[in-house]
Formats: sequence, structure tokens, C-alpha cells
Amino acid sequence: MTDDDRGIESLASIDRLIHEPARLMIMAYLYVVDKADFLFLVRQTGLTLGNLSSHMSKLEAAGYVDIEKRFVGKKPHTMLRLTQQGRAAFSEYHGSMKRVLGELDVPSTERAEVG
Amino acid sequence: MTENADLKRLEKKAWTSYHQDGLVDFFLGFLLIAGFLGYSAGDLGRVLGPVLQLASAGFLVLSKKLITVPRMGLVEFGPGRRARKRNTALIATFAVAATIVLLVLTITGNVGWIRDNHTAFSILLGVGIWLVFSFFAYMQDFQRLYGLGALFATAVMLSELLDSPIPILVAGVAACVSGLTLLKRFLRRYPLPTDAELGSNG
Repeated sequence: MTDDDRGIESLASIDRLIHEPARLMIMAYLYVVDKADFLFLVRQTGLTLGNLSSHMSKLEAAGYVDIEKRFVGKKPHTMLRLTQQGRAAFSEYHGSMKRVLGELDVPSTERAEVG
Repeated sequence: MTENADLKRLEKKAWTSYHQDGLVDFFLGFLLIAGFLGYSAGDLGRVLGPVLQLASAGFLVLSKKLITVPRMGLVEFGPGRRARKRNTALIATFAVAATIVLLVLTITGNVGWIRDNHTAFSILLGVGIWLVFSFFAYMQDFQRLYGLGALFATAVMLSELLDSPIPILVAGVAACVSGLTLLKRFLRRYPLPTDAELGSNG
């Protein structure tokens, strides 16, 4: 049985690492750019640096994000980019969620109240 | 198509957030004020105006690096944006070359055809300037540039029609004030993060 056949059951196999809202935001931003630093992600997502670092470690451990540390003058600078694996995982997650949510027929308020 | 619509919007949001600093408004205003000085300060102005205009381009690049990036972070956008940047640079080079040709024609006195068709030339110049700005605005997803282009074009056109640099000065001051207001808001909204905040994540 493929994901297409299973409908809502395919949600069980969704990538939970990406599914977490903060990590989903991080992945989405890194998906649409080539690479970015921590401050860029802080500004765009509204996450704190500590929070971002913690999520980034998980994404790096999964092989989704490549963390490149370098020195600009005497200051350390970290650039982040999605790996090929990360891009593929995000693309698959995006497709699965869209497919499943597209299939769900949300009942109208009236039907829900009667039910 | 819709799969990428939201992601495109997200990328556009990230891209346009770098235009909130008001620096381009200030740069264009400064260009106009330098143009006014060039027109009204006699022989000295002929040198001072272009020098100030060139310096302001350097100022824009430097201030983006020193003011915007340390507050917004560093990002490299994808190949689509890079191609748009290249095309914009190409048209900018063409626009600068056309301006230099017009300046040389004016300095060498080969402006008889302009004098004979002055009103039409002034209007065409205004329309041409606005079209170039609109192209930049479209290519860079920079909505405010349509308005700034209209301001710039109107100022140059009126200045030609009235044979007075005053419209250029007024538009220049207006663009600078707008830029400084936006910059003030930007600096308040995005304070410089301290080294302690950034830690080793710079």
C-alpha cells in the first residue's frame, strides 16, 4: 500500500523531526535560501538563539543540516545550509502533508454541532 | 504550482526584510541632493556633484554591510535571486552609461536637438527614469522603489521643464527624510545583538 492509498494513515509515517513547529520553520527557511547564519534565522523565525541552537543540533545529528564554522576576523561565524538529505526530507514532508491535508474533508460548523 | 507558492512567499518575505532599512531611500535622496549641488554650485559643483554621487554608491554598499547585515544576519539566496541580481546590475550599468553619454553631450554643447524638443525630451526623460526604476523594483521585489522612481522621475522632469534645480532638491530632501525615518524604525526594531547573545554562533 502506498501513501496515496492509505490517506490519513500515512500521517503515522510523517517525519516527526521536521514536524515540530520550530524545526519546520527552520527547515522551511533553509529550504528557500542557499545558506544563512544563526542571526538570520533568529530574525526570520522569532526563535531565541538558545532554542535555535538546540533544534539545530537535532537537525545536524539527523544529517539534515550542515553547520559550517569559520572565523571572520577574530570572531567565529556559523553558516547553516540544508544537506541534500535535508532537502529531500523536507520536500517529502511537504508533499505528504499537502496530500493528506488535501484529502481531509473538514466538516462545516453546523454539521459538527449537530454531530 | 501551489506546492511552491507558500515557499516562494516565504523566500520573498526573507528577501524583502532586507529592504526595510531605508538605506536605498537615503541613497537616492543623497544622489538628488548631490545633483542639485552639481547644478547650482558653479564650476566647483560640476566636480563636486559627480564625486558625491559616486561616494554615495560606496556609502550604500558599506552601510548595508555595517548596518543591515550585523542586525539581520547573513544569508545567501538561491540561484533565482542571483540571476535577478545579475540582470539588474546589467540594466544599472546600461542606465549609468546612458546618463554619462547625456552628460558628455551636455558638457560638449551637443544639445541642440534637446533644446529644440525640450518639453518632449523632459517628459521622455522622466518616463525613461521611471521605467528603469520600475524594472529594478520588479526584479528586486522592492515595492517602495516604484514610488521612489516616480519621485525621482518627476523631480528630474520638472527640473528640466522649469530649468531649475529646486524640484531635485525638494525630492532629494523628501527621500532622505523618508530613508532616515525608516532607518530609525529599523534600528529600533533590530538592535545589534551583543557578542554574549550570539556566543559562538556569530
